[in-house]
Amino acid sequence: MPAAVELRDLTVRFGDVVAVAGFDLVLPAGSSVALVGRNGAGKSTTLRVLAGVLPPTSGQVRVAGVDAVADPAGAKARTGYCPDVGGLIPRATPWEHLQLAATLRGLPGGWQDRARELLDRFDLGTVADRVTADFSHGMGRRMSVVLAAFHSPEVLLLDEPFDGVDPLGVEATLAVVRELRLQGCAVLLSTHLLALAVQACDEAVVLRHGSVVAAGPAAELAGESGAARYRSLLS
Amino acid sequence: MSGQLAPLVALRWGMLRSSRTRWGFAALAGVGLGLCIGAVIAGLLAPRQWATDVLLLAPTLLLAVAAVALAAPLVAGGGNELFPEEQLVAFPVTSRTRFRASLTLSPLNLAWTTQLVGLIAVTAYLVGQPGGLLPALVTCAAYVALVTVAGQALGWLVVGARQRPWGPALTWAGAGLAAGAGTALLLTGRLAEGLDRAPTTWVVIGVLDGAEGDYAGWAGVTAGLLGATWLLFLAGQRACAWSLRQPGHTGGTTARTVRRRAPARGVLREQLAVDRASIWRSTSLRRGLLVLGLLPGVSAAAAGLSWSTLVLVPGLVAAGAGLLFGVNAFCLAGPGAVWLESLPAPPPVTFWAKTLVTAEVCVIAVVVALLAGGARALRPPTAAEAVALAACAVVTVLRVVATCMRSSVTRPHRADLRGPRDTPAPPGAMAAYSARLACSTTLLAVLFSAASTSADWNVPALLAVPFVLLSSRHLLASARLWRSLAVRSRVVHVIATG
Repeated sequence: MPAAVELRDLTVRFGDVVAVAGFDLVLPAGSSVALVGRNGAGKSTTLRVLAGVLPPTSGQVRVAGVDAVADPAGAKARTGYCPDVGGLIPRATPWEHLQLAATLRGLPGGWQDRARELLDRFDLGTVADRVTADFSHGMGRRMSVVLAAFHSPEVLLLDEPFDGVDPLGVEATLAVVRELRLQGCAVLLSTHLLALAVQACDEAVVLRHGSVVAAGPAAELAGESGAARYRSLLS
Repeated sequence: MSGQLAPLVALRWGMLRSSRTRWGFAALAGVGLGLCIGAVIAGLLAPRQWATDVLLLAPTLLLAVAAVALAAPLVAGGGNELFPEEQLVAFPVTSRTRFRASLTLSPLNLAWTTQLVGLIAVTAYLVGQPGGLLPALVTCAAYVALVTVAGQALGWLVVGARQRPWGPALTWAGAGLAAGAGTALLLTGRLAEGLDRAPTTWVVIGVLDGAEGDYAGWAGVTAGLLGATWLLFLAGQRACAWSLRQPGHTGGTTARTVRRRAPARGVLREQLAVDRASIWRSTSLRRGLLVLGLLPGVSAAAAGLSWSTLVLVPGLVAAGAGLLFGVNAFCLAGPGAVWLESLPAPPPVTFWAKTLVTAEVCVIAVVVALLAGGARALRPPTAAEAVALAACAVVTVLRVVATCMRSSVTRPHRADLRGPRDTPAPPGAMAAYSARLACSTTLLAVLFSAASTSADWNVPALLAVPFVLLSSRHLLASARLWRSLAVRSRVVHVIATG
């Protein structure tokens, strides 16, 4: 069985700036890894490459056995992506987002039940037909997680899913992560909230200036001692 | 410039990162200045055989300038802004600065600049000699200042009023009343009589007084204009402050619930449905489309344009429609552009969906304008006129769509189009886009207008072929460009995050 995510020597440059420098990562199906590190460490850039919205400068990127560079549509079909900023079309409703995703992903009939269930779980059922332009930041984040998880992807890419989200929304996100992992989905989660990273993921990778500075069980970053160790890795 | 306005203008100028853009902008300003000087020379050198006609029509021309100056800020939701409102929330920018900024940006409106150049030419023609030209031009400038400030003040007042519970009904009633009065004048044949009594006659008298050395009369009119300008400037600042104090002044889509629609058949149709909804749910786009469709058509009907002159209308309307959002078409997805790109749809779906909605908006505006403009035609068009009109509409719409999609792919800007004053690109870029679109479509329209006088309808039809092929080629080149992930990645990240 191929790895759910396989990065080999991933490098991304923006002009003279090296955002990701030779990142290697292998995620088996059903696993979960937290990407942590300071701003500009390369976490979001890595997730964007995996989501197929940013081309890598060099290196190999495989998602569920599919080469994301050679077959971006195949890779996109297997991933669910919650971007770090925005993520919603301002004058479309949550239901229209789901309808568009279902059509573009070619989901079979019956997707509506799953859509309703997720909207209710994330407390968005009552605003399913309201344009998202005036959603609060937290509502937007919750909706982005719904859109990422909606089609039960093989790889779930969550970029700052807890940012500005209330405790109930955080719980709903953690529950969805758990459920999808049980179905064999690999989860890659980027966050600055260390406690939630530890709660959601088994493994953690600490990035600095686009390179891995530490990798291991997420539990090692738990508590005061874990936080102190994490801080020491950042500078 | 006020204390706050100067640094804001400097920041906006500083945001033009490439020297090429700065030079382009400076060149555009130079062209404007050159046109004004050219207008003076042309006015002085033109044959005097139309002097009486121009003198009689001058008050009407001044009235038309006022109409454009009043309508432009209304269409823009209170005038253009140096920065979108959301980008200034952390700064204590006063309403006075906002009002002055919108006034400062007035010359970036192509219609305003064109009318100014026309007015200068007419003033120079009325004077007819270099002696006396300066005071006449001062009066002309005072009049332009008056109507510009009046337009901005009215624009902010109406925007504020529309945020009150009674506002929308009042503004619609006002618009209906104005339209009704205009229609009544038109149908009763009293339009000419009404125009003869226009108060702008006094401005023309002031211009002539200045030219002829009657400085007492000239000073009276010019001082009156400048005094009224100052009063309106103060009133405009107050109107702007009042407007910005209204609870819903951003004109967003607060808590708006919409009816659920059935899924569309096919990926392109579904994407189109979402894009169409994005257009109709945007205050600025809805209003712009309405005004673009109706205003040129009604003006053409009021003027009783001939069919060969009506051929000039589709190009201008299509160019205006392209400026609504087409020059930055991917901004319809706003911050959702990144998520949209992560869906496994073939890249051409997004490109062609944006192309089709841009074309649709252009076609709707052009058809409405032509229907309104042709309503008062005295006779049916000849075959050549009908073909020229249709061919011109097709060619100019295609030209606009091809230009828009190229700029959308190569020069994206972050724009949410949420508020009533939001534009798809910053003010300078909008000025450049409008100049480019207006020039190309006007040249095409002039060609087809000439072809419409031909006895053979094949002439305009054949004339259209190379232009259709050329625009199609440009459009396909942009579609090919969009296939590159590097290009798409840049566009969606600029659109979503700025």
